[in-house]
Amino acid sequence: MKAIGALILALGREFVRDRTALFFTLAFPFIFMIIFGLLMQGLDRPRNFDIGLVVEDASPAASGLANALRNVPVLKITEDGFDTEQDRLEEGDRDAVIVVPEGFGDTVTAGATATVRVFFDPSRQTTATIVLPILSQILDGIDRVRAGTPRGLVIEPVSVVASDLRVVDFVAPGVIAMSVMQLGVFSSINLVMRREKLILKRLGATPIRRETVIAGEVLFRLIITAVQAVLLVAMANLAFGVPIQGGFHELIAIVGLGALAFIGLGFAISSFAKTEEGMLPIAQLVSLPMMFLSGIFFPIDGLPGFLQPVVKVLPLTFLGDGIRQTMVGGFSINAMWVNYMALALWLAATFLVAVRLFKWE
Amino acid sequence: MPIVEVRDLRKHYGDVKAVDGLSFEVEPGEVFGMLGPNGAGKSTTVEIVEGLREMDAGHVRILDLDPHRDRVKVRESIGIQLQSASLFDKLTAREHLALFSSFYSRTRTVDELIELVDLADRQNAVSKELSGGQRQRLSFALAMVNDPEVVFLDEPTTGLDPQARRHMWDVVAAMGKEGKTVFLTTHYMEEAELLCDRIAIIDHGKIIALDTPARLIESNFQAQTVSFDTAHGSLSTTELESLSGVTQAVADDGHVELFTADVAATIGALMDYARQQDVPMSDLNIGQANLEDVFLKLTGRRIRD
Repeated sequence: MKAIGALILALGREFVRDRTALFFTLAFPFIFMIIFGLLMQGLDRPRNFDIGLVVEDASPAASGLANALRNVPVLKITEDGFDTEQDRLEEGDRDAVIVVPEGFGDTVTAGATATVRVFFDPSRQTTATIVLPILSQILDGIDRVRAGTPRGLVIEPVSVVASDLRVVDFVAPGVIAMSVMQLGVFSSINLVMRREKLILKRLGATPIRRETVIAGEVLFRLIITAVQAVLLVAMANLAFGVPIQGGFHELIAIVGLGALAFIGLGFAISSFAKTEEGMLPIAQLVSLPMMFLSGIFFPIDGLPGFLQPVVKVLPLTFLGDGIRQTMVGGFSINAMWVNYMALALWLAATFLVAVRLFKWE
Repeated sequence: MPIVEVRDLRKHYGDVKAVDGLSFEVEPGEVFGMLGPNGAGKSTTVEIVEGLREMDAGHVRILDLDPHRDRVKVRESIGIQLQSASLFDKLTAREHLALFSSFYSRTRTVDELIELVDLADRQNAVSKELSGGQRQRLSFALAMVNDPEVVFLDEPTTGLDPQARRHMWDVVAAMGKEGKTVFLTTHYMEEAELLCDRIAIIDHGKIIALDTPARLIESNFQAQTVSFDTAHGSLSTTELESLSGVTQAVADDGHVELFTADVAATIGALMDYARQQDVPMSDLNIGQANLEDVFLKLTGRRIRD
């Protein structure tokens, strides 16, 4: 125990005294969040949305809904038929196409649940975050008019992305996940550097056990990750108003588990390079694609289908999804327990590899 | 009971036999030196004895323990200085000593260690700002943290300037006087001759001689040397050995060394020979044989840095 404490202290001093590395390690995610938080705010302001409306039902209920939609100020409604509107959606000229299907009125009259279909492009996130909530409000309004009956109208988004989230609500948890991932994966660089400089060999020439060295390195990384995560969460919450709905316990659990899994990944890949220079490209090769394929900055539904199986098993997908669900709810990809299980599996696998392949020199 | 016991030790790297059947013992309280050129297998041997490396075959005991199976117990009682200083760039001398102290159950105080290697005025400088000699001294202090019974020093003065080297020699000599057992490797003749009670001369993974420095010289030479440099490319050592008084002739890269029982006769014969064969000579020397000559005689090569 004494040895682990002393090791953590030594690693901490090394880390804090290298100002350049310190800055680049810790500052990057903040810059990222500030950029997204401030610059993307423009995207959250109301603007007009081009909506194609297709009313296939002649009932009073259907025309009532259509009228309600036509009266929403920010929606620019065109009604040129399903095929034309659908083409325009695919060309990017429409933000969404709303279809009130045939039989809508009858279903409503019968008191059953009626469905309005909404076609939209999930990669255009503002549509998802704004049009659907507006539609939802209108339906609620109509429901309220039909007071006394249970909610009879629901929207069926064709792509499942719906919530009244702002861009920053989506991106801030992604930035936190990214920083946890990077601090973990790039721990490999420090480890390789210490091996290359024969510092690990020197430590190995004392009675200290390999497990103690690994534990010291892992705990030290965990502390750094915790510090950065706390600062990022505080910034997201206080400066940009991103909520923490799931509470701190859940947030600590998911971030802690994710941090350990990624530190394990960093240690596992550190066996594949002999020099610091050789490690850097490997670490980047591991971390960079993950940043784009894990849905931390945009929904994964927008990614091509052949990538989906890959995307669905990446550790960053589980971590990003877990943090986002914990903080803001919404946009969920997996059930929370799936995220925990998957990260735990990654953790077990990477540490197994790391301990197996660990070399003093 | 010997401190270190090595029998028929072998270690191969691919086709290269780094250690090729070494046997030796290190006795309590002695300064034991392993002398040989770079790549002779010195570091490999030491690291196997320390338990840092696996052997392919052979028998190694240290303090009557197995260096791998009894790793923790062995490490508690020995001190290791690696060939490179291997320090954390941004930690000070004191911080290094405190860190390494946490690894051992029995330790000397940081102040004692600082004093031992005379680093008091630099104790709060980070290691990156220390000179080569200071780094080496700190590295030595780290090997002494647990007040070990045996200290392994792998080329402790390689790369140091003469003054720093002399300083290290003083420190090692002081340990020898304290009665500590020291096992050091070096490729400096002078260092081995000055510090070691016994020396194993090692080349291509084999011990070619093992004795006290004085006896190594005595047993190989009753003899003095006549040496010279020459631009003549193809001197025949057989012809040189036929000269009067010469017991052995070695020519290596323009440097010729004649071991002789009769200096006067050899000089006369050499002069006649040089005139007849038109051999240009420079830097003609008559000298007492030293370890350098022992190495040359045994391997046919001079040891080089």
